[in-house]
Amino acid sequence: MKIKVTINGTTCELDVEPDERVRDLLRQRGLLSVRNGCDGQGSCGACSILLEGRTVNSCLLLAPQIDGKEIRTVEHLAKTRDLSAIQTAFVEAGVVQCGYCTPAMLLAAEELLTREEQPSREQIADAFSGIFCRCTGYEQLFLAVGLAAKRVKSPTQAAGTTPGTTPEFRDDLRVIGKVKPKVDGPRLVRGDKAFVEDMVQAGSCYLKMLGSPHAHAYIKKIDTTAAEATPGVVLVLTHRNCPDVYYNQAGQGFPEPSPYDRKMFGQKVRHIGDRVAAVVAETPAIAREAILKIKVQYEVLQPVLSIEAAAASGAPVLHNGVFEYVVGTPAGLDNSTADPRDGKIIYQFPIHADPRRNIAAAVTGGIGDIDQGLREAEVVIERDYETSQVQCTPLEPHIVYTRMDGDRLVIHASTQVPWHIRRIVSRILGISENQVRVIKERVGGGFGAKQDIVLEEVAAYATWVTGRPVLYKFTREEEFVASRTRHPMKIKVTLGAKKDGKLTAIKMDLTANTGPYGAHALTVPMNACSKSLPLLLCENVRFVVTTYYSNIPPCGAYQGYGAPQGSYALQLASAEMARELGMDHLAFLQKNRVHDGSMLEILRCLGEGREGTPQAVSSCGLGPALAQGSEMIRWGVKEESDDPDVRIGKGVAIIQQASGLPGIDSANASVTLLGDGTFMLLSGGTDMGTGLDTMTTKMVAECLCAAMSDVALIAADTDVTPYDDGAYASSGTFFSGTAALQAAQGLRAKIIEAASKMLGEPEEDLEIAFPSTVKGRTVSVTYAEVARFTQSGTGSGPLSSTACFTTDKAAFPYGAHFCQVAVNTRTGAVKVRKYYALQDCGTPINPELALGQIYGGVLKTIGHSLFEEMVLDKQGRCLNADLLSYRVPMIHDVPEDFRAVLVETNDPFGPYGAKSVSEISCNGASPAIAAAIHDAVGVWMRSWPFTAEKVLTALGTIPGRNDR
Amino acid sequence: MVEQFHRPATIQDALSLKRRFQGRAAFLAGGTLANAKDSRLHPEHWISLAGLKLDRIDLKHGGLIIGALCPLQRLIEDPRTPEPLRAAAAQIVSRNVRNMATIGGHVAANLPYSDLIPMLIALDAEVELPGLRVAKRVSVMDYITTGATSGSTMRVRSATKSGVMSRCTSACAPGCTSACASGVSSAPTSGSNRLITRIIVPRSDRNRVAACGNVRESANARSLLSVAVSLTLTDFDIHDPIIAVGGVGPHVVRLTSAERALDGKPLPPTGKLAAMISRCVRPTSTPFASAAYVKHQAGAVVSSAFQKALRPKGGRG
Ligand SMILES: Cc1cc2nc3c(=O)[nH]c(=O)nc-3n(C[C@H](O)[C@H](O)[C@H](O)COP(=O)(O)OP(=O)(O)OC[C@H]3O[C@@H](n4cnc5c(N)ncnc54)[C@H](O)[C@@H]3O)c2cc1C
Ligand code: FES
Ligand code: FES
Repeated sequence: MKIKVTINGTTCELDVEPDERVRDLLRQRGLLSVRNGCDGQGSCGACSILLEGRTVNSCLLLAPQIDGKEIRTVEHLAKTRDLSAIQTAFVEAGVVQCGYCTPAMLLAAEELLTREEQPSREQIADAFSGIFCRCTGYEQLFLAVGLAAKRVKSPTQAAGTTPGTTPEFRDDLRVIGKVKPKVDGPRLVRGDKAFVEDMVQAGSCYLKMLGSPHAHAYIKKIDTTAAEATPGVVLVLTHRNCPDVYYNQAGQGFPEPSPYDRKMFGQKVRHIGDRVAAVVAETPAIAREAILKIKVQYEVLQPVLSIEAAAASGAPVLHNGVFEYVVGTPAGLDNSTADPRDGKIIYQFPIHADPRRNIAAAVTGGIGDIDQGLREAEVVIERDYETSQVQCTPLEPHIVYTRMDGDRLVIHASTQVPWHIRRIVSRILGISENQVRVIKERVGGGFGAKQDIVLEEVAAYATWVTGRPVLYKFTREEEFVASRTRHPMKIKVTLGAKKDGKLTAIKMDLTANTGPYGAHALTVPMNACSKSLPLLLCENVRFVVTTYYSNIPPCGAYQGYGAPQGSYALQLASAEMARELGMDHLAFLQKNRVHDGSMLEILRCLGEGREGTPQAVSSCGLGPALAQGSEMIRWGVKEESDDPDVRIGKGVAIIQQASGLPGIDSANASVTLLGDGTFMLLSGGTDMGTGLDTMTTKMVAECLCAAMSDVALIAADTDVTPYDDGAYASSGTFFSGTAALQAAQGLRAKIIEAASKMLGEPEEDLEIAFPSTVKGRTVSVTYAEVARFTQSGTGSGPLSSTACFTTDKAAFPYGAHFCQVAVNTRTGAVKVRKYYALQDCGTPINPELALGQIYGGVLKTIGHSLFEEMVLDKQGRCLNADLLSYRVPMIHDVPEDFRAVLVETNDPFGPYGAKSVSEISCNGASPAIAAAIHDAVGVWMRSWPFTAEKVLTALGTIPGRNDR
Repeated sequence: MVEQFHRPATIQDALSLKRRFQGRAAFLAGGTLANAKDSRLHPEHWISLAGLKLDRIDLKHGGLIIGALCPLQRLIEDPRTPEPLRAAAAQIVSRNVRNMATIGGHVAANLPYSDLIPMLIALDAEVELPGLRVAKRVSVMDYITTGATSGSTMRVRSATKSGVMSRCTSACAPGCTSACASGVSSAPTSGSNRLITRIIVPRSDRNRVAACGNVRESANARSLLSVAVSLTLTDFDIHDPIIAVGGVGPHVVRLTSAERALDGKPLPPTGKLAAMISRCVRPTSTPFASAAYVKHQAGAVVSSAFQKALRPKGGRG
């Protein structure tokens, strides 16, 4: 049917289908800013458009509904490449992270500012109320709208930055520590082609997966003939025709600690949604139709859903196959009872697994003598904490687009680990790494979920065998049941202390549930200990970690990587100990915490699958963070509510993380001086929205005294840029940043060397100066002149420098989080009224983006502290696998007073003194909120989330439930 | 597979299309449910209501006549909208959804967790259902308990005085005291709803007050419970209270036994009132909330709504 519609000012007549979605229609017409985060449920707002000037979800509109109407998408905001006032405000406020939600947010801001000149906080929250953003924590939207309101009023302010809106650091540096536009910001606010879904060419095929309806079963029989015979079907893959290669999907450095415990398709399915068959077809509809024609007979097994069930004697065994070790085969390895249908597990090295008892990995360690420490203690407490399963929920679900380029495979990936994809995919396909190119596109949120290769290898294989380009995008439901989640854990903490509060013993007994496969089974639970124990100085420390397989949806990396669970348990236990001692919690933390220079003996036993090295703390901002935070929250002052049902409480937690994995990670970069004196930076660093690209660009611009606009960057393309382990373990700033800095330093030396030849002055007398100049005693040359000199027929050739950064030095970021909660004793509702996150990330390279990382990390974890959790039924089916019934924080969940504060230190090992900032932000919310709830109403919330129902149960108002 | 998208210009045309295609056709208003991914509506014919010019809000005899196609956000913005109704509509958190969703679609959808229907019931609102010759008016309560399915059991409201309700015949949900056809759906099914053309919110007595509340665990969650109360205030007593609760059964229910117990008496202390309300609802446990919790919260949220309604300027209808 025909409709007439005005799109971004142009009226056109379109021929549409009666059930065509407006979102699809607009995307087909090249308006790529209209995105999809919930498959058309209406819950994410990523597909927002302005319809007659109002924000609506275009996925909920049929094309005929817009007949005669006026539509605007973000593409209308900037008529040229120049940005509008609202767009510049968004970039400057640091509210553009991954950028997947940004077009929707911009339209909501536009609508708001059309009706309100100076909107209130409440009006701003209402304007964005229908749009989900997983990255930013929303707080900086208030700043962005305020800035935009000013700029809309006086458009002359549209360009540049507004001083004073975000704190800046390091007066001695030009771009480091300063608010500078995020390098990918303009592209993202314009809604340009940026994400994998934007790269799909006409004629591509679509991959759809048949997921298992059972959590635990053998495939007895599978008949794909009807599916294969469906016109338009290109390929059907099952366990019978997939590569016979075992691997792990974890994107970790080789040799990985994660067991190779799966094939592309197994004969055994181990979770609901586990792969049974893939159909590649010419249209999504054909693929879906063919999926329905696949007949499968299952032998259904009893599902194992909890740690207790997995550990019970006689429990069904998830992996009862053949076990092999590349090195360190344990004595007595017995494969005689293996069931061939269970396949194999190959270990790169021992991780103390015992799969026939469902143990995926185990590790123990410690320092001193824990028994002695407990004997010395005057007070001992033992407490049990429990955490539930939480989904990463990146707004852009997992997606990959694969195609052939001649005889080479090209993978357009939304990933944190391009080089691990190349290595793993080439191994599975049985081809060499040089036949595979991985191009990391903009990533619509990763958070750890995209550290794993959860769909890339299937699409890659399909393209390799058929030669056809293939798009494979998870549905939101698949994202819930088949990507990555935070491990549920049970943590028993035993603390011993003297009456004066000095800790004498710390013990963490931790069991974790890794789900069906062992991606990160050793390292995430271990990290729960290694990122919480070193915060407290104690001579006798012990940890015991056991990870179990089960049939819940797969667990893996999620921002914080186990530290949020460990920190919750240990920090809350410290609050409980302080209470037991009759001591102020803050005073207890001050007595036991690390300081600048503290020797961390505990690191010896906290290496990731290898021995670690003790190290002194190289920089620690905990002192100032605690001092400033306690003042901000008025620590020690009891607040009263004027509502008799409401009690107010305050809580604190100290936190840490690391900056990459010393001795394991490596990063590389190269910088080349171009003919006009500008630079080309090639970095392996994988920006997933955090601002890594801006950071590496700043490193080069600062070091070479150049304008940021003179540094162009290509990053994370395995054909073009040098190797990088990937964006995980908080390694970006420390590793990829240092690699870029060292490459720039190398180039600086070469520029000076060349200039010295040109000017005839000794190198010692030359120095580089802004802008892009080498100054001698008497004369100066520009970089352009140096470039021409070196690139001429008599020169030494273009100047370029490459650096590889590895280190055995650790730079720990620290932080103190304070909160004030209001607990309604009648309803059990907990409201976080104030949340102050004070964090030491060394020198904040991109202050506005660092703040955004903190707000985002905190709000995510306020989510799992108060309401977010995956709920499974007794068969292992996730009952809330969508963004309406799974509770993700929206803008109305933001604390009333939410402040992130950057506490500056200067780390001797970090580039320009910088350390990591993002993951650590996830570690404070649960313990601080739980401590505050106790302060308010006297109950300890030892299992997250602290729902109103659990609070009422703890208060004794309602009976506890025992039917879940 | 949708064959045709119809755009009738008159109500009669819309009705005749529906008569012609019966269960193969469905009305389409804002589309927030009808077009959603999990919609159970898969009609061959969409009957768009957009051309019926039913999006106006008018004041008549002091009451509000709201066109069924009026978007919820417009209802909120209209200065004539009574405060309690505005507050109830504003409980639907997503502005994007409120910009699209219509009041008629909302009532027709008859969601068990509706944030708005309890208030419409508390305000004694009626829906206008056009017929071949004359339009009928039925109470919102009757519409949601009988009208959402086939319409065959539709009964015209027997009395307009608040609190006078028809009896529940099928006990669809504990606490339900309305004439309720069995199998009332919680989400749009066949799309055979009777067409709603207007919602009429009658002028309320000067002494009549109303307020709403809900229990929601996070901003993106559906309301676990949504309630609205209204009552007439004399010096010491409350009269003709209406207590409408969503979230305890397949559709919003009225707690008539509590209403009767409260009628003509001073409002009991909060704790006592909450306990009384908790006794009136018998929800079942779900993996997300235990029955004991929902019962407790029903008491808490209803008693809070009463307190809100009684606050000076708190909930004037
Ligand atoms: C993401 C999201 C969040 C939501 N959050 C909330 C919330 O917090 N609280 C809440 O209460 N609700 C919520 N809702 C529900 C929302 O209020 C309803 O979807 C909306 O009111 C339905 O109105 P509509 O105009 O879009 O109806 P449509 O989707 O067009 O239609 C809904 C049903 O009613 C029928 N219908 C439509 N109009 C008429 C009519 N005039 N006469 C007869 N039948 C008709 C249709 O055939 C269909 O069966 C949410 C919905 C979404 C998608
Ligand atoms: S894709 Fe439209 S709301 Fe999510
Ligand atoms: S920036 Fe909002 S989802 Fe990533």
